[in-house]
Amino acid sequence: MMDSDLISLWLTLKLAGVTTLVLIVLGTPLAWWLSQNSLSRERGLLRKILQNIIEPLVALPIVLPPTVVGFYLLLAFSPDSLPGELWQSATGTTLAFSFYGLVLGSVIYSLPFYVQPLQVAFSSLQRELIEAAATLGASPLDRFFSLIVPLCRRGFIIAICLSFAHTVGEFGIVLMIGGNLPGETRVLSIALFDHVEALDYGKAHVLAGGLLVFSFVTLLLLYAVDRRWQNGTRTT
Amino acid sequence: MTSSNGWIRHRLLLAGVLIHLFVHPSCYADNLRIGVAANFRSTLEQIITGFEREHHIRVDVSTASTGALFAQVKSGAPFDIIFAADRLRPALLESQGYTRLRRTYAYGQLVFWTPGQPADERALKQYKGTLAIANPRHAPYGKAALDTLKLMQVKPDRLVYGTNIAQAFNFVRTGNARAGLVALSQVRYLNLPASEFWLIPPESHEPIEQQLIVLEGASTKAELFVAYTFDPGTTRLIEQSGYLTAKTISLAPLETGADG
Repeated sequence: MMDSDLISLWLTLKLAGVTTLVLIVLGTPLAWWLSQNSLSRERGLLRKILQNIIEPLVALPIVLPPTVVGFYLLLAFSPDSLPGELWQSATGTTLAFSFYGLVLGSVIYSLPFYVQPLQVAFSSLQRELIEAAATLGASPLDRFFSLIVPLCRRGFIIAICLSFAHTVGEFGIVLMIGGNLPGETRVLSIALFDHVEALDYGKAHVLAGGLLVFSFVTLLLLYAVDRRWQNGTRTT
Repeated sequence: MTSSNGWIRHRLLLAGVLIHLFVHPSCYADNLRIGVAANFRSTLEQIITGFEREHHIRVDVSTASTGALFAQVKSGAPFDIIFAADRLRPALLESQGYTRLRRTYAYGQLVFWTPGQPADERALKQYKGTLAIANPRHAPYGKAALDTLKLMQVKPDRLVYGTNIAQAFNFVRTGNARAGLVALSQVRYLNLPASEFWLIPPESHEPIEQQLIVLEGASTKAELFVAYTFDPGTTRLIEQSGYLTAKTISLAPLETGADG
């Protein structure tokens, strides 16, 4: 592997890591809100409408071509548009061709892969356990971190692994908003594309093979974790 | 003939009709199939319009980068002609026995484009900020752009790469980059005001020589299309679109490919 490919490898891990962290912070409350909303029987009309709009919105990146997201981001990032202008006046740089622009794109792109598994895990929680903890005087935060998180660890692990792996595999959006800057926006999938375009199949093989093995091993582990913990919860 | 036999035949006939319906007309062997590099697509489409009118032969076009076209040809894609953006990859395909004809059809021209600002040599030399070019590693326009920047000692704050010249153009068009080194054919195609772009002197970079190849197994109509491409009327159209041709380029000696 060449030096520039090592830089791309590091950048890819950094992007996937930061994106996953952002998703943990933003996606967890969202998944919780969605799961509780669909469970509660006496919900208001407004919440019902909101839920019915937000749920498909979260799922959109699964069906949308990445080029659609990339195209709109490219327009939104332009200093001629409001979001781009605000960012530029705040930071002095453009969101396009920057690492933070990629983080933003990746958060949108990987959102369903984080929220959906977690929402399923939250929905299948036994409500009696949480209510019991509440009557014993545990605060909401305490209930969440010492009860819900351990109970839903399988959902958390699947959500984190899927959004990390999905971000590693991102290509279309980065291609459209990245600008191919080494160390900043040239992630592995872009470096691979460059090698193929430059007819350098030797280097392309190293990256393509590496990504294939990484993706397979991730899914292998994920299924193993899934099976084991599924059995584990059954026996305990 | 038994009735079950008749039923099977009936079914097969129906399947045949259905397959006929669902197979896209482009799969018919009598259509000419052309792969074209992104920068020449709009010009090629104008050429095709004239060709179809004159010869009543339908032409199907696929756009891809020259690298992708190269890979497609090597894996047996059913093209008759490839209009590439460089001469390197057509020459490579020729040396590997994939072609029966290789010829230069146009020379690309580079412009410095700054939307909303007057563009000239001084503006380029003093340009700071983000400059968009095509990827110099595999896009011929990108290599020419990088050569130009080195020669003119232009040092933009940030140099961003589009996958091809079309993407570099879009970075500028959407305002994400304030300026770029793009193809004259692109600014011509959109009829942009002449004050916004400055033609880079051709001697600032290696010529962007764009070659076409006719593939080994191509239909005989391919040569008809090539002849039409080098017809004086078409040559004029290519020049008006923003390219130089063998007639107008002043660089000597000229390489005209396999037949030269």
